[in-house]
Amino acid sequence: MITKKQKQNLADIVGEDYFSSEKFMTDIYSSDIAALPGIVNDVINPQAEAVAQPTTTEIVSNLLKYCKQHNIPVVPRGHGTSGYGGALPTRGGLVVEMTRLNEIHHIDRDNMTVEVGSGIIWGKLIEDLEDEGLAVAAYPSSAPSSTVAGWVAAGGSGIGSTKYGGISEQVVDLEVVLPDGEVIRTKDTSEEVFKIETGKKVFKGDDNFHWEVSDNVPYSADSTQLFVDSNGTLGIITKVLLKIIPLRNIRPITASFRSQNLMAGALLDILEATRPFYLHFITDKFYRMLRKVDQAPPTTGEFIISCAFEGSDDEIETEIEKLKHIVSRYSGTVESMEVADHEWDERFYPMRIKRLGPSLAPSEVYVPLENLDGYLNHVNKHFKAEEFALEGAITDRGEVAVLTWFPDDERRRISFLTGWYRSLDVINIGLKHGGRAYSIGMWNAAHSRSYYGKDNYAKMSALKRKKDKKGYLNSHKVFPGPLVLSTRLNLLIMVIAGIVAPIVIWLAGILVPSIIQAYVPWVVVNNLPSFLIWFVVGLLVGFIVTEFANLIPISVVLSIGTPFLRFFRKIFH
Amino acid sequence: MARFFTPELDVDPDQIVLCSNCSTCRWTCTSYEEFRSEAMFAGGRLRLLRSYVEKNLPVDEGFVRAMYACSTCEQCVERCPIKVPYVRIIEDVRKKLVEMGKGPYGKLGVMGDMAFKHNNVFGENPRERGDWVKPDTKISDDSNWGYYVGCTASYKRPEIADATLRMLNYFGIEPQILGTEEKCCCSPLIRTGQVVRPIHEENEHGEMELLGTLEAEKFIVHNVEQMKSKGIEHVIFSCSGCYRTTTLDWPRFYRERHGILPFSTQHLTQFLALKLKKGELEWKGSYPETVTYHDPCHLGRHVGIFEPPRQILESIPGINLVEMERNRQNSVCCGAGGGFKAGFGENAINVAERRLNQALDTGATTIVSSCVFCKLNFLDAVKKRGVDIKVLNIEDLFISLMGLG
Repeated sequence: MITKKQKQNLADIVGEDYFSSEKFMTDIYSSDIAALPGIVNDVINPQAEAVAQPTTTEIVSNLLKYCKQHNIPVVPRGHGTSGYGGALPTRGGLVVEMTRLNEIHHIDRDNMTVEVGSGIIWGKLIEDLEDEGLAVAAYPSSAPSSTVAGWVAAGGSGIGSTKYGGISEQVVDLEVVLPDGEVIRTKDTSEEVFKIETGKKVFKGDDNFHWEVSDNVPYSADSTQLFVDSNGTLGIITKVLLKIIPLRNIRPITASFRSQNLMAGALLDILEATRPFYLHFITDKFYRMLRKVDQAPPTTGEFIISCAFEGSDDEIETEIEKLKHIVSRYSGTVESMEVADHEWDERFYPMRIKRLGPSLAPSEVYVPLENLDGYLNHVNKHFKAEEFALEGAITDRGEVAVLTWFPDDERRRISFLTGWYRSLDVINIGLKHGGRAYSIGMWNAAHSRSYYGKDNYAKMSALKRKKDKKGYLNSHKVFPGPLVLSTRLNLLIMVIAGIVAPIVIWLAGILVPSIIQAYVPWVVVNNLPSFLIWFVVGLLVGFIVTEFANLIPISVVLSIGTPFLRFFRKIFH
Repeated sequence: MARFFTPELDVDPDQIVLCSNCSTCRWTCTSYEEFRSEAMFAGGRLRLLRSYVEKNLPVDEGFVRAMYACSTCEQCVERCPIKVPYVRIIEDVRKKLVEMGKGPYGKLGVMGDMAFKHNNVFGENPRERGDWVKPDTKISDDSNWGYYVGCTASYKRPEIADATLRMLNYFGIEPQILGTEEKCCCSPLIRTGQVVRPIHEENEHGEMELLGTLEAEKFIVHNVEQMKSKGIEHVIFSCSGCYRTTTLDWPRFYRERHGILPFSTQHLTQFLALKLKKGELEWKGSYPETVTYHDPCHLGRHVGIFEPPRQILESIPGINLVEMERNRQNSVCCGAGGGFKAGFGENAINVAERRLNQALDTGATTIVSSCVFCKLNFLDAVKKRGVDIKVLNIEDLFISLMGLG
């Protein structure tokens, strides 16, 4: 809870014009792109208390120093366009929106890098670089709306990643404000700085769990990769130094196939024989949904591969010839230029099918390309009773970021809640096929250790423990933390327990009076005072339950809850 | 479904639930560019709206301000992958806020008060509405052509009304005007949600007294009936806002109870482009300057008229027509529409200043538009911020080059 005086102090630090604790502002900064089922919202209870828009790195530093000192939870935020819960203020506190740090600071043509403020939008950066004859090597499919540091913090792959890798391959250096307010350049800061010497216990989460770190962990002199993908849990990114490339021709090409295995086979061969800038596919289910919203291209087959090559005209021509050969080998059709251009222009807008929902529940997971066919078959079988669409983009690591969309209606509370299991199942199926989570945020915090790798995760944990022992900076993200139930939910649980306890005793007295009288004759509800006594006892039990619930990490709640959701979905859907 | 319907703010759930929160509309949003807050762009406003509706929060001033800090320029709808009808939603919400007595924001209510009392949103004398007509121009009372002048041209920018009339006269048209019988087209009222609004006035005892109810429909029906009684079949507009409202909103209000509109509507740029196509327009002068065209939102994105103004400008001898980076469907708003100028005056001028600077970036010395409001706001930016650019409307150019001014 931020006090009135603290709010004033925060406003003084950031400037009155860039600070707000008004209800209409804090409400809007309490969610991200994902629609959450009502009860999940009640349990997770994200509610910002204030919003700050710092304009300089120094202000960010001062804000963090103040918040750490006063234990005010802080959540950094870009444009909130990720759906993994990385920007949800689960413990309330201050949301620090970085969008006012949105300048292009320096373009270095010798080293081919650009230094930008963390809050600049990808689309704006791409346009401005284009004017200089330059381009970023990879950008997210949310480029029209997402911020540079938003993608750096959330991680993942995007357009251009087939040739140049994901965001972690694009970042050269970061300016980061650590949780204690210290400003560092990650390129010049060794990972060893964050090592904990005394003992080997490292921070695992907000709940102060510990485990041993293995010896002989190599430490890099450049700590940049420690902060990429870390969801703002280790510090707030204020500047990003990105790799850039010369602006080159890009030519899209689209091919369609009659079946999934032909398409999957073609994808493997295309990646082996050529070096596409962008390689993406949609399956028949996605195609049919696009047709329903009048956005389907007029292709021969319903399994579509969209590809784009980058380079000189001759280089592109050679690559396209190779691709055409592969497509014909898999009985596919190379579509017209109009179709290819349409698909290229549509690369930012997979959400067009949302009109069918009106909600969309998405889930994304990395799967090795060689296992794609098996994974798609598994998903098709697992969700045979559900309506869904599948698309995927191939990365330079030979992985496919497979995105599954489930049209739904969030206004139907029960079915939307039970349908939530699907997003979690998609990831679990991906893991079974040798895949890994796409991004961690909050919802995938259970997968943190496997996602980052044991050593990296241990280093991140050490940094967290050293600089932010109480976990005030972006709590619950990456490092699984316990629930913070809302006061409303706490009271609800207590009242329900208070009412249920005397009713159960009263019913037991009627149904099995002999047992009660034989063993616990003092447990009886037969008049108002006894009802009230047991009501109070119930309240206390409810209180104890809520206190225990507040110790359970969110990831555990999800693991326990998913099978129930799946079960209820199967019964009621 | 039920949780979307609350006693406080009931809005159509099918519409607001469509928004995917993707923020694609944020980057080009007029008000986001100005206020830089998540509550101040289309998607953010819809999220805010949902949050208030779902939690049944009491409507506070911050919420009302956010709902009104939008120029309804429709850039968001243009960019939206799902084509959420945002402007329609925001107009509905404003209507609801007015019904609840929580809107309109700030001084926007004055427009409604003035329209109720004086039939125009500026509070000018309705008997002087036709006073802009100069003796050397011709109007008639039996032509099947009509010229709907609008409040702004009638009172604030009479040179636009005069130029339009001279242009029509040049082509041998002596249109009818409604003069004192012309009432506000209701564009500012519909955009700000004042479709039905009780009007109060403080009496001598300091108590608020109900004067009556402002009903946009009555204004619209009055205007249509007047034109009908005069036998007008084609109506020309110089104001993009009036044109948009007459073309898209009037049928909505009129059709249900009164049938289809008995006349066709034409913006003066369409009229001139048609004359050009028929070979009836031969320029007498030249304009040897670099000119850029600003698409008014109401004429461009709202109705889809992008090319006629450009065809006219390109035909002018000596002119060097250049495009701003953001043009046609992607054009930037001038900041005057949707009640934004009336409610957020200084911010509207900031927006206009930014657009004028974009025009200067092209090397243009003149920015031409075809909207009374755009011109008004641009001229304010020129005056207050000292932007060095000439601001003209197409009709200004016409009368100047044809020697009619």
